[in-house]
Amino acid sequence: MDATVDDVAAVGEPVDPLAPVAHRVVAVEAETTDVVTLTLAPIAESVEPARPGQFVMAWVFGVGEIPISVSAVGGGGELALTVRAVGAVSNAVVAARPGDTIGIRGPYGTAWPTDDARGSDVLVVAGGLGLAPLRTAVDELAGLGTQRLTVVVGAREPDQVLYPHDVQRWRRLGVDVHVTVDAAPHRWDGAVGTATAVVARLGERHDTVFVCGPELMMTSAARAAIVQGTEPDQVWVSLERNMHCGVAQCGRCQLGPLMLCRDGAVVRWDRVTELLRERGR
Amino acid sequence: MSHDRTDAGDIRRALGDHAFFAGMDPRHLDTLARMAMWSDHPAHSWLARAGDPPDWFHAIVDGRVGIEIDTPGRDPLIVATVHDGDVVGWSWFVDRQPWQFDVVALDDVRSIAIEVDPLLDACASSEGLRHELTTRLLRVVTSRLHDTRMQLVDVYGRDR
Repeated sequence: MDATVDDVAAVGEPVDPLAPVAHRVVAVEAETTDVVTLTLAPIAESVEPARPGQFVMAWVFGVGEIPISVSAVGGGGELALTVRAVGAVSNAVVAARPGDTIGIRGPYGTAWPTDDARGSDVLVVAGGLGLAPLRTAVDELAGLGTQRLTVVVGAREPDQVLYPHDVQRWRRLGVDVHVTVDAAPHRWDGAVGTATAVVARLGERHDTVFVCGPELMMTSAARAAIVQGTEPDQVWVSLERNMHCGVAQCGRCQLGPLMLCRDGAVVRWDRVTELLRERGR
Repeated sequence: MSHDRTDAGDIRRALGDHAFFAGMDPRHLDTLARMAMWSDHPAHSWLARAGDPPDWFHAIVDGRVGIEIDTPGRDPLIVATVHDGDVVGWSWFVDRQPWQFDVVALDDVRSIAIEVDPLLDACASSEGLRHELTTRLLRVVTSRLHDTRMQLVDVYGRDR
């Protein structure tokens, strides 16, 4: 029997899962010269809270939509997005000011397996903007009672290191944090070199490893962790492709058998090792 | 920089404990210990300047040193840090080349300084020692080459 207009009305308005939910920009914090963190609050309804590593689609009305990892979640449905200005939409996001409206849908994708890491020795390796999707994971792990938590943060230069206040806070919480940059002036009190070099220098086996950053850096750091003894199925990386629909329908983020908007962004290293070796993926 | 040859036994033990020399034949460690001394470098002092003759080879025991490039028209730039367990100054091994970069103590640094001339003589007369050092230095060079390539790619640059 066909449904009537009255039947639809009886169960309420159908909800479009792809419809963005309006959020107000409540704070803008400059992280570096071209990276900002926006704090957004729902205007009416809110989206589900994101788990560490998940992303949302952020829609700037009249410009377009991009995937952005959630870098913090707060009470009342607040969420933070850390964005680098590289294209039309991200430039519009970075240019947003308090009071502006941005549409949010999601959260989408997989999360860092923080619950499984409880009680184990965890290494987190973040490069550049890759610290954003790991920020809430480190916060969660620091409070989970991991056996040991080591964080390696890599950046291009000292003033490109994200969340310096969080880095200090994590250290106060007992997290072993190593910050390294590609080049630095004399006054820099961290290391100079790659995140991979730090992983190698640690010279320790970790039970679980989370890596996020440029793909070349992730590949290198994951291999270094495995050389130190971590099992490949205990290494997790966050992969990005051209996430577009967020619900594994459009196929733009396909990596072999994976739709990264659904099966990622966080994936187990042994599931993607061979896929990443294929050129052009 | 201050040098201290006072305790040869202490130096020998420290060489045996140092990551760079781990697993080395004890006879070679004995040889190295005879040409080594403690070397202390206050923070911000130079271990070597680019162009200096390669008189000393340093195994870092404590603190960080920076490998620095000074380019006219801009501030000096540290392009790598070397930490405890690593070594700095291996250009001597290839045709006794001078230091290629400035090396600055970023903290108060303690190193085991090994005199290069007697070390080269020892390598010339001992194939075993030469092989041990070649293998270890190749590891260092491989690691630094990897780092340099990654830095060259500028993985954290825009649009990546």
